[in-house]
Amino acid sequence: MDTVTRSADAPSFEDYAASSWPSLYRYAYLLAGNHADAEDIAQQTLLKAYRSWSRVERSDSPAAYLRRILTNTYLSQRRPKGRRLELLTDAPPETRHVAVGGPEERMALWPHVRSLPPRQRAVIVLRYYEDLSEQEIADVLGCSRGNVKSTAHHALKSLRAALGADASDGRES
Amino acid sequence: MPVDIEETLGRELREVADGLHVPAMPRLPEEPPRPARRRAPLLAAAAVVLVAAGAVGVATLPDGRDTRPAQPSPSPSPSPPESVAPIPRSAPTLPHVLDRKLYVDGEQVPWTWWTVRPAGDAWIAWREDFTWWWGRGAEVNELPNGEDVTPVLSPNGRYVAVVRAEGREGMLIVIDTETADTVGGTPLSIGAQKWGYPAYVVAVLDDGRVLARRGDSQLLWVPGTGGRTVDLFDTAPGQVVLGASSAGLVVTDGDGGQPYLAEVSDAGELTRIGELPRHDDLVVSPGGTWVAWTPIGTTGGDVTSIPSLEVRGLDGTEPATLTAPDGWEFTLRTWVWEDDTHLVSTVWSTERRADRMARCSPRTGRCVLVRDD
Repeated sequence: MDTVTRSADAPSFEDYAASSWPSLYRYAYLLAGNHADAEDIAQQTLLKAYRSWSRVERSDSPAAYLRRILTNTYLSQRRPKGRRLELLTDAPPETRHVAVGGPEERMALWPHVRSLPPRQRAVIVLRYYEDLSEQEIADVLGCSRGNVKSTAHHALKSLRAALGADASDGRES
Repeated sequence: MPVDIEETLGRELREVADGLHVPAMPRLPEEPPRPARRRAPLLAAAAVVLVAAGAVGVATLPDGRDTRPAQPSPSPSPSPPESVAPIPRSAPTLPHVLDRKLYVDGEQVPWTWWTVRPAGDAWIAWREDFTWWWGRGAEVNELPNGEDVTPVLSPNGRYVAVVRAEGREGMLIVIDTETADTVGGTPLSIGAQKWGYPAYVVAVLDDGRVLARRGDSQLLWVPGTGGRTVDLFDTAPGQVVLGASSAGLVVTDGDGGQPYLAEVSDAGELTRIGELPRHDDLVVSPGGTWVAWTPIGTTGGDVTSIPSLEVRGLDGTEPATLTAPDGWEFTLRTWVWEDDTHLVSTVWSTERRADRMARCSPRTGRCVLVRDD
């Protein structure tokens, strides 16, 4: 692969991608909820960043730029077959399902976060994992702050309802 | 015991993320990176009534920036003979809307959209909720909006202008898309409504000058001159400015008269620099090399798609016809010059009840569907 740099001080794409991969993957997993889709989304994000590296590098915050690419990739739910990268590994493909009864399944809210509609989940992850402000989330999603507020409101309402249902189930059992 | 849902969310999301086994980063493809986009000439003309590029001129904004417009390419960039070069079937490089989805740099921008008009590195788009947005790349910014007010982008994509109604006053807002700043800092009054109709922007030139219409007045505003405007009703009687293109202003000699290309001076004087065909819709390629148009009477009324477009070189090349791929028709006012070699457009198939993107070569008169990826 060609090395893409703008100046001696600027990191190459390869360096930047290597250092960003873990955080991209974690963020992608929180959005997608499974390893296979997380890998797919994170890979596509790096590919898109690679193809527009000069623009990414010039941006005020390459990390924010990549976060926006990743979020839009996730929300678009449009993963062109022709652009998919194959992960070159000897490991067998991972299941899309988290083992039932694992630590994640025992959490109070995470299982319900994974059930939220994509846009609501994105707002929740951006707000409570990435610690972004409403305006920053609006910038990522390309919408107004009001839209972020209402989306977050609906998401939290759903989560509270789910928690309430869990509590009821617990009492009944 | 009540759960602090926000605290719990933050904690659980961090626990999930921290507990992940992160796989090795995949190898990336052996392909050259996409080069940085060049500014005006290579990319995009605007759409709808041509509104592609701007008149030639130099102005200095209040902050002293040089706003000389990008010079049009004197000729198309060297390329293999079109008679043998295949038309690329790759996805358009320009922002485009397909099936109400807006794609910029290969990414889908959230929300659903009616239309997008690209120019240079910038674009303006109309969202499903009837709000207007502008962007550079995938960055999205909302435009100050009013009902029935349509923003206009300069042919080089540097400026976007819109008139916002405040009571009976029309307030002109010009945004520099490179800095996202409002030129002059604040909206500028360009006068009260005339006959009950607010002013609206007709054209923005590459140097930030704006032509707005209010009643029968055509007001030219020049950056750095405060609120002063020149009325072309006085300086160019009977001439009607339709829009700006990379080759100059598109003007008609009277309503429905013969169209022509013109330059405008800061004093509002028009200088004829070229002839144009009579048209319903017309777009000029970003380097000012080609013009594509629909003949008079073909794209009015309830027409939503047409089978062909006319095209010719602005240097006097004989006209040719671009026919949409077999079974498809050009969706009205979605055609735009991708560069000075190809035109792209949404096409519609009544039989398939589907939209696709097509790319056309004016040299060969051929159009192909682009890959649906």
